[in-house]
Amino acid sequence: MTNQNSLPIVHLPPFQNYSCTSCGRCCRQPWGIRVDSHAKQEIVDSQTAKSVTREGYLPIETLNGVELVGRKPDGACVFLDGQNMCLVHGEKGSQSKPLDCQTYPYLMTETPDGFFISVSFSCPAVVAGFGKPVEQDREELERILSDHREEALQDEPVGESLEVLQDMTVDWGSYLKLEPLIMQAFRPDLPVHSMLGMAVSLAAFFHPANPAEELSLSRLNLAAPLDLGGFDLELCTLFSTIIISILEREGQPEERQSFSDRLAQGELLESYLYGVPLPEFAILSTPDQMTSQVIARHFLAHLFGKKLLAGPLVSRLLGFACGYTILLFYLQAFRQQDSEKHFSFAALDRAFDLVEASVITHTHSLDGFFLEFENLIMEALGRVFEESTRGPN
Amino acid sequence: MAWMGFLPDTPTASDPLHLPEWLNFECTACGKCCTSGWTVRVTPVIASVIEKSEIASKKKEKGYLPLEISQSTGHQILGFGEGKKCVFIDPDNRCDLHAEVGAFRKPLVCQVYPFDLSKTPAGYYATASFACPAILAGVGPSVAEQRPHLEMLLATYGSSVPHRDRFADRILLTEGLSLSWQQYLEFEQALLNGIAAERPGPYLIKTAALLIEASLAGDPWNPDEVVAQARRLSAPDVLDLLADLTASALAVLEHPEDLQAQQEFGTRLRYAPPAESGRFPISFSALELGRTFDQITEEVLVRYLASFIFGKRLLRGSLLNGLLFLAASIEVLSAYLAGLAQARTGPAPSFRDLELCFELVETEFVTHTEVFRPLIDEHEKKLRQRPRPLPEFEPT
Repeated sequence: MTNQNSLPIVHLPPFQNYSCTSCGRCCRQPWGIRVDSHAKQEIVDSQTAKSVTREGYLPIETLNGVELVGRKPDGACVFLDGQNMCLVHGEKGSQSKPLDCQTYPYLMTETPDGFFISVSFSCPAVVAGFGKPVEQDREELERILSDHREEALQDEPVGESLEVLQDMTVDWGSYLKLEPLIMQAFRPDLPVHSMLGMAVSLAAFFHPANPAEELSLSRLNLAAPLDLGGFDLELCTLFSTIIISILEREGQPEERQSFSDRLAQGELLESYLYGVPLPEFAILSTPDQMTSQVIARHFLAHLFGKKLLAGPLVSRLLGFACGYTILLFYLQAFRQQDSEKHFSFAALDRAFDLVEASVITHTHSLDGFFLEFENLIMEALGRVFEESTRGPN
Repeated sequence: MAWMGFLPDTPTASDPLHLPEWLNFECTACGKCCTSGWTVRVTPVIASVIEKSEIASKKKEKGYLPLEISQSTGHQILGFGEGKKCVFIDPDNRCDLHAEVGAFRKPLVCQVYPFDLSKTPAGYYATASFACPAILAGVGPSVAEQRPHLEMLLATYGSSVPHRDRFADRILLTEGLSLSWQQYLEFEQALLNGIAAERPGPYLIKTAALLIEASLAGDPWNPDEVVAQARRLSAPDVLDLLADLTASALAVLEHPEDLQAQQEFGTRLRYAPPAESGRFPISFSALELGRTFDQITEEVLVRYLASFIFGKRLLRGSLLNGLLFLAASIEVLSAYLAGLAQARTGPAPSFRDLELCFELVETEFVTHTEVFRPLIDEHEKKLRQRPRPLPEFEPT
């Protein structure tokens, strides 16, 4: 999607600040960073690659046929120096780095109306909203998208027709009318509850068995959700505890069932990931206004940046409901450990990193659960609609 | 309220109470307000409740004074236990007096905190102290839920509940000039409309300058126009005045007892920074008015400003005086936050840093009018005497 000057149309979130603080976290994430063909040429020709090789590391590793930047035994990128600076960047400039490194923390989605940009809340500077408005990076992003569109995109482009449910599509124009309704229904102080409410309402609205004669978006009110008698909260507890057990017992699949069962039953467990005691499992509200402000920015960034379209919309909303459940649960655990009663940036930053990296943004490995969550909500709604058409006998 | 054993001195239940419902609050029993050595004035009625209580006798047996006389004001105040702790606080940060006599017979200062009430021709306006960490972070539900508690307090104790009186028919703008209450409310609304979009220190002092200019010139009353102009105005002389005021205020806070050290610090900060802090292990770099922070801090600042203004705290002396006080307090706060930022890694201040800065400004600056009033008065005079320049706008 380009305009007359053949520069891509790029939409940046107007409510987010970001400047890199060289904290080095993204260079230590256990992410597979693809080495695109341009970066490969630059790296192979560099002095940096030679010295990395001399130290006994592979500058580029091949995993299942995909070329990735090399890693040191501690997981850090082989090109990261002691000052959290990139050796490739230092030697040959920013544009010689892999595209993932050039664009992070920006997340780009192509749509019929151009590219929409979100930001990753795995990045502490993004969580804090540190630095300049993201508008400052427009030219850089336009250049990257103009020269390297294919390689810079993380997700499939959003087409003229997009999935709102697994077998129900709407056109792009209708989706754009849904977006403000979603924004209005979102409650940063009650992220899980409001997310479930809008997911159930949307699922009901588009449900094939919905007896309403005429579907009109103007009559859709996502802020007044349909009541499933707490079934949506039960499912959210089920899926969230399963996901927590997968995160906590990654290497011990045989222990996951018991971990999630005990968690859901309210047992007090210890976190294997972080070595902290976990609180009793609950679906929590946001503990304070400072945290609410960050959650609001997080959701708006992903809504604006079209990250809710990385799968069927309802399943993504349900995925975000699980994401916020897990975020607030670990936030409570980290705050208890710091004995902080009011607000803790360090705890919030850690919890966001977990959820972004391992639940909703940098992984698709849990998408199956969210699709199943959607199926179960659809079945429950089917029963509600069946009863209501049968009448009160 | 027969069970109280006494009657309220003024029935005020009908006075409307205006709450800043965008603030959240729930006490977290952090104990800060009970352990910081603050002076808590006790009214005679409550003093007699305390004197008759068992817990007071127990404290006396242990050698503590439940009630003392303030050396500075001569008022009866709560006594102290270990260090700066209130004599009645237990090791779990619970109030022993509360446990014995109930919430409604504690000193009124304790009952109303962290709220701050101003009585006006339109009823009571509340705001809350950002020295309270729960208010700062916004823990708990909206303060709308505190309405029954505060209304009960006002209905029971009337004007004995600590508050500031803003009952005058006219609001003093500056010496010789005044506004009607209605005009003040219009101005306040205009000011609040711009508060989230502008850098607060410069915005407040430029608004103050234009308000006084328009009033001295006898321009027709149009607060929206004053505020709109302030947002466009580049006024280096007015900003210089704010920089002087901020440097002087910081000097007094850093060296409260030592006039010569104040002068040296102020001069160094204005003309040869950095200047070392005597309070914290930080140094102040060159003053940068209207400094911006990370978005987490910015949200707190906007919440603070809106609550301060809504709570009628601009009306402590003249309105011009209040605007100068608030502009300077934001710049003082920003200077400390920026100093602490140099000493940390990471993109956001720790909550502890925010807490320190807000506590400092709330408990040692904006409430310490007796110390800072001469300084503010001096700058108010300068602002009044400022010649009305030709309009000079920043290029758009």
